[in-house]
Amino acid sequence: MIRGIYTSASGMILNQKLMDLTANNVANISTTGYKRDIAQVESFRKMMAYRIFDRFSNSIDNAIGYMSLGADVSRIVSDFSQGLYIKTDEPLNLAIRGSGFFTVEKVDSLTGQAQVYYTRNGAFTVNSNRELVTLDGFRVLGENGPVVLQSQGQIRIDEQGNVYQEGRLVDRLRLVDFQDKSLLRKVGDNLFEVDAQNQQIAFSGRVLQGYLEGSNVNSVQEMVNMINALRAYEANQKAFITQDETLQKAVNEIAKK
Amino acid sequence: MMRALYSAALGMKAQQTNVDIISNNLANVNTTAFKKDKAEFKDLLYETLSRADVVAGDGKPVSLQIGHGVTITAITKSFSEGNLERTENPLDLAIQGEGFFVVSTPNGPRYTRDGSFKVSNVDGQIKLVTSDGYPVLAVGDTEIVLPETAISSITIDETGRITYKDAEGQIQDSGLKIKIVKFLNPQGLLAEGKNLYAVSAASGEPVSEEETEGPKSRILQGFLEMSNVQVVDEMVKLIIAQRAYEINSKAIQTADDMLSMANNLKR
Repeated sequence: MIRGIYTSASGMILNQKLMDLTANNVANISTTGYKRDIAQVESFRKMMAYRIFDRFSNSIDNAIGYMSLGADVSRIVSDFSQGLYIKTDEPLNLAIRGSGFFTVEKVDSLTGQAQVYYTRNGAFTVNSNRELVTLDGFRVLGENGPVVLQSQGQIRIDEQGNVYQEGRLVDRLRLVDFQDKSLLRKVGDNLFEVDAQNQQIAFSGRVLQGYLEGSNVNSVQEMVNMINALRAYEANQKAFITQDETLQKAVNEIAKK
Repeated sequence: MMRALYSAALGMKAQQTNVDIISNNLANVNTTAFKKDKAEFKDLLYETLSRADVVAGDGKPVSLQIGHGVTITAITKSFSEGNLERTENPLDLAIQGEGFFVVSTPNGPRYTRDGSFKVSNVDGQIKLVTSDGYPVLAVGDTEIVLPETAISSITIDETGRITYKDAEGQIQDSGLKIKIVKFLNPQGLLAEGKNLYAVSAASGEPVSEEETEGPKSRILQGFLEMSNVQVVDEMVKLIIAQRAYEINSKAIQTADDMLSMANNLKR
């Protein structure tokens, strides 16, 4: 009896988490380079139910069967499928076609230490030190450290990420890709963090200048997820109430007779 | 649950700002030399529900993280050139290239690409000014003061040199050249309204094109630069923003429905 109440409650909590996730996807429907999150749900570890006191059986094998007492989110993975390309015609707007990431460096304002992050958001600009930066001011890294541009001249970036200014090669963007993208962690600000163990592999995508990659959130899919979460929540709530009513009968009515 | 409410509310808020920006672009579709704005979004912090660990055979390789919504990180201006419109007015100037005119305001120098200049006649001094009456500066940061006869016969060449015909019909060089400056990061300029921009730490100091090497801007007399707002683009952005706003409001409704169900557990 009580066990069923906990199972229903765990179902409700699970669907709350799914709703939180969907709300975050929906909120980021206009975020450049955003990759939508998907939850994988797993039932709690199954447990074996035994008959405890069975005088008719001599066997030690008196199992009734397996049961599981609820479900929870086991993994949240990002869906790295391509977002749509938005043409902006800005020379410092870059999109990656195919797999791969731009490398940026964020300086911790407390410790002053620089840390490397990866992003698909190629909306870049130049700061007053002539460095190529993201719109949050994080430096974009090239093969030789931060990309420093000349004060004058048209910027052209080719498909391999070579940055030319007035025909002269300035630097090549540090473009990377990873063996196992499911190990990338989102840290906000459109950035991903990577564990040291994660194997880097050669970049095989192409850079498009004058484009941005939109979010890959699909509004129809998210709407369906939302309805699913709501209805599953409702069903769990109904199951919860039903069990509560049964419990009420057991507590209040059985003793009346 | 509350997280979903806040995330979706932030989504609505960001889209509202987005619509504000688009409306301002559309309102300025006929403003001379107006440069369109664009909102850039970023995702917010992620909360770790359970950390990744590496216990052999049993470890979770990935942390369980749920995000906290969205914010607008920057509003970028696109400094692409607007269409040129021929006005035949000798005091209308357009810049082809990355330069800006310099005007002197009571708050210090300001920068503009709006070249719809006028002449003002104060105490017999004839000056080239903007539509708001701020003097336009020449190379050397001097105001452009011209003799009276010059107004009807003023010629400004591509480099900004001002010549005019005197009373005898002879072409005279005024010795003045319109100052054009460039910025390293024009996106860092502060838009002040009235088509004026102010310098900021992010934009870098203005560099006079006169004193530097490299490609120079061209000045076109008798033309004005129009706004670079494309109505179709803005309409499409408006529709997308509206739908995004809508789906976020649906998320709030759903989260609210779930909350009310939770509240009805105890009857």
